[in-house]
Amino acid sequence: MSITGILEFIGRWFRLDVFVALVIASLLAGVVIWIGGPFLTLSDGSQGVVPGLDGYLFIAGALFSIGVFGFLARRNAISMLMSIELMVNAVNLAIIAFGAFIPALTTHASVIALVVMAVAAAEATVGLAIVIAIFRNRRTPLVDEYSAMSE
Amino acid sequence: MDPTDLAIVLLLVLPLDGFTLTALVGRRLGSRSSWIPVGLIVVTWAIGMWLVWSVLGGQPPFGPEHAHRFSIYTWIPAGTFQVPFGLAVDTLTAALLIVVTTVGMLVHVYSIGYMADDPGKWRFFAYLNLFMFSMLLLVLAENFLVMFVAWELVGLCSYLLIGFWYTRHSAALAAKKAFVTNRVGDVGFALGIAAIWTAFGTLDFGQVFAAFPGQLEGWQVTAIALLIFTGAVGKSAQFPLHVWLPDAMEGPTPVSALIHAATMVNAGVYMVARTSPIFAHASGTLSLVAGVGIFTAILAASIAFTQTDIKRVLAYSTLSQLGYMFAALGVGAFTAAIFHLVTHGFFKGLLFLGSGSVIHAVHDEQDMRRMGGLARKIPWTYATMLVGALAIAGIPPLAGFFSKDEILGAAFKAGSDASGFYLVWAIGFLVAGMTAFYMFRLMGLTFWGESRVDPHVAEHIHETPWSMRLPLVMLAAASIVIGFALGYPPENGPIHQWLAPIFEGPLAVLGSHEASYQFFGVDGALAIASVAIALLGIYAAWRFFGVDLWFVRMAPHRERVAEIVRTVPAAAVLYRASVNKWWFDDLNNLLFVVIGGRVADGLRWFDIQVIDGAVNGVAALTVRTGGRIGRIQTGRVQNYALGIALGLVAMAVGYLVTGPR
Amino acid sequence: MTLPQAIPFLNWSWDYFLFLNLALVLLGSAVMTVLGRNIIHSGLWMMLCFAALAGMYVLLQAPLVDAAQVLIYIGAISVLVLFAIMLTQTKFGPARLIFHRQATSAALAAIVLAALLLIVVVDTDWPGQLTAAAHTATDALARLLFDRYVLPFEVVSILLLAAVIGGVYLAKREPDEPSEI
Repeated sequence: MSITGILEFIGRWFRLDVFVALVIASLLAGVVIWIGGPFLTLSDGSQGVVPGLDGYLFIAGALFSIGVFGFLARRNAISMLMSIELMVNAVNLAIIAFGAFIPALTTHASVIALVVMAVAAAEATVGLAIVIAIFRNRRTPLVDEYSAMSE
Repeated sequence: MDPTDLAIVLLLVLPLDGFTLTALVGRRLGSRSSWIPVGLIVVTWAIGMWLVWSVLGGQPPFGPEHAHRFSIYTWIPAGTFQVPFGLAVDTLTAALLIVVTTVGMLVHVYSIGYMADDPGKWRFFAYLNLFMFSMLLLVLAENFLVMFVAWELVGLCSYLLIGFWYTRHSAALAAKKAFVTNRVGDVGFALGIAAIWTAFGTLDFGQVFAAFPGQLEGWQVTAIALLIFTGAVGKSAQFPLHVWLPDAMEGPTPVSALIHAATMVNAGVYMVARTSPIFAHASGTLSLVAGVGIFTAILAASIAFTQTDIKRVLAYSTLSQLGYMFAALGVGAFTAAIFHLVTHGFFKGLLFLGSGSVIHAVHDEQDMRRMGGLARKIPWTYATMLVGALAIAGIPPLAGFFSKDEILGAAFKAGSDASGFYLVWAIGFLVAGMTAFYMFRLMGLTFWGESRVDPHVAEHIHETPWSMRLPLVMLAAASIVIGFALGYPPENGPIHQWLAPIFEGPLAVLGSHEASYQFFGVDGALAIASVAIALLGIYAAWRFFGVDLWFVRMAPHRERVAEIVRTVPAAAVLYRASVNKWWFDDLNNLLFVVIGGRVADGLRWFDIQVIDGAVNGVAALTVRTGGRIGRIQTGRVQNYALGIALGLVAMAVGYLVTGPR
Repeated sequence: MTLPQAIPFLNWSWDYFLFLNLALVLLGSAVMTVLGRNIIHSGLWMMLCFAALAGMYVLLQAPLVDAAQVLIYIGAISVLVLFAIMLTQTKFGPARLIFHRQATSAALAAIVLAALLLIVVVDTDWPGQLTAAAHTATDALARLLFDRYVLPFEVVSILLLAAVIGGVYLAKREPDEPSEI
């Protein structure tokens, strides 16, 4: 069974590009876990390895970066807003993670996270309302065609 | 002020006033505009003659040394550079004054008739008066700077007068050519003056001549002499700056008579004579002066052979005679040069005014091929011109004989000091014959033979009015007697006695010895020889161009001339060269107009492409760079956000790499 | 049969295993959100992302925040986003219409940012702790919220009010406009 044969077989049921992407992603993830494991986890004796603060913060940072990319790269205004939501959620995760691992901050972290959530909701509301209002005028949600500021 | 000083100042002020008044009110006076300038010039002449009599007679304040110098005021008081407005009259000045004032006055009187119909008459007289002022200032100057100012002024007046009929394109071009060529010489003169001031710290004639050569080395003396000489070359139209004088005939005939025969072109000769103490120390330059002079003489004479315009023949004749004067200066015969200057002023002035009379008679026709047989129709003009022609040919006892013979004699005798001067004599001898030939060719074509005048014009030929005839007669009389009066006994006549003290010093430096005149020895032989060759020239001209005197009559054989020119190859070449003025105008045109024009085009290209290109390039570069940088401002928030993100990343990386502070 | 204490051979605790799964889902769905061509799919992936995040909060022993996450994000904001998408429909188009030209530089910036954050996080000595997650007591949270943080609480409520009013006003249709939206 050659590789092309395998790919062809799989291609009958899955989208090939997605499949390849998944394979690559999982390989990447495996590498990250294997290498990053000792840094990002705690040894808990009999309980085995447990995710440490660094692990959660790493996840938050990765999520934040993904949000940054989405914000800078997408043309649709609503996609930008979704990326903003991802960023806010990453921050929330980081706050809660700090709260979990630093005993003095535990309840405070939850309060802060709740406030952040509320603010994010308000901001999403108003942002989407603005997009809708602009869409009425310009008939397009693509931000680079909102060019009134470039003069 | 001393009456003599006053008189000298008046000599200058009166013509200047004439110029100012005529320039201001002349137009309104119309035909009466000539009264003021002519009247003032007559008064100037009278004062001039009185001054001449005072100087030569040794009256106070001239005293036994026959000289008087004074200064009106300090013209330039600038620390170490002090230049007074110095004027002086000595016997050399007196000789020049005779010529300048007399010929000037006669030309003014002549112009009343000649320019009678010209609407610009008031301008003409104004310029003439300005010219008289400039020439008198040049002659009276006592330091180099005043002389230089007068030098330039004379050139300016020449330009104004040559281009008097400025609506004529050829006249405007001729005026420009004269001025530019003059300027070329003036540059040398100015450099020479600067060199003198650098060396001696003063520009006064007396002080400079006394201090010469001082600490200067031989080459410096030669350099100064050469530079000064270039000024003379330009002003007196010697080779190679001779090209302007023939074209200057575009001006009215009185202008040609006054400026280009009697006065302005003599300024160069006068200047070299005046600065003879400087030239005496630079004997190499003097030899160059002689060489240039005699070369110009034969060059001009050869061209005069084939010219058909009556004024051009006379112009080349002037060039030739000026060459004689410079040759005389070059061999050390300063007095002979000045003597010839005086006599030439009179008979050349006569010839020019006479030709003006002829032109006036045939209604502004200047081409001799359309003249002929005018002897009976304009007898007074004919008679006076005949006198002038004989004078210039050197037939005794008219004026030209004495002065020309003296020059040739001096050249021959100087040959014993430096054998090169024998060649000067030989060429001068040849030119004497050539002069006679072309002058009588002019007479033959104009006055003798059958009439080739246009029939319409022929009916109206008439003699000139007395305002024009009187100067002709007076000049003819002067041409007859002045040679004898000033130059007899030969080499010891009145003019020699007057000028001897001035040239004593330079002659002593040159070391030339004054042998006494031997009538029955060398000098006599030379005199007979020069008369002989003059007669030969006259005879040859008669043969070809006919003669119609009351005692001699010969038909013209002009076709023989054409035949000779056609058949003999050497003659053909010489003929073509003569007609084309030895191609000097073409050479100048090629060098300066064509090649100079290309150089100027190249420089213009450089200026536009490189220099302007650099400046414009900087501007364009700025604009383009600004345009490109301006594209950062897109107005889109996401672009700005990317900038923020990248900046943040860069800062953080930098911080991490260099470590926390 | 009971589950072993830790995954054998890898010595992973079950918490860690769960954490890894949630992390993968989280990051994967986030990536699908920003890379999705169809914007509705993008929105749905975002909902999945929020759900995975909620699971993370459970692991971090913060139940109230967890519940708020589910209610607010999945229940309200995602729905809001989907409504907005429906109201501003554009045609499904190629990548040129989805991403800017600056997407490559943005990706680069994002990757470098992630790396930076990782380095910073790992390098820093976090104070306190580093044992297993602590539990957040709800009553302690309530006491804090209405005692010390009552001012922020009230301000947030006013903020929400302002947001609602503003959103309604901005998105409102003009009276004489055609009722396309």
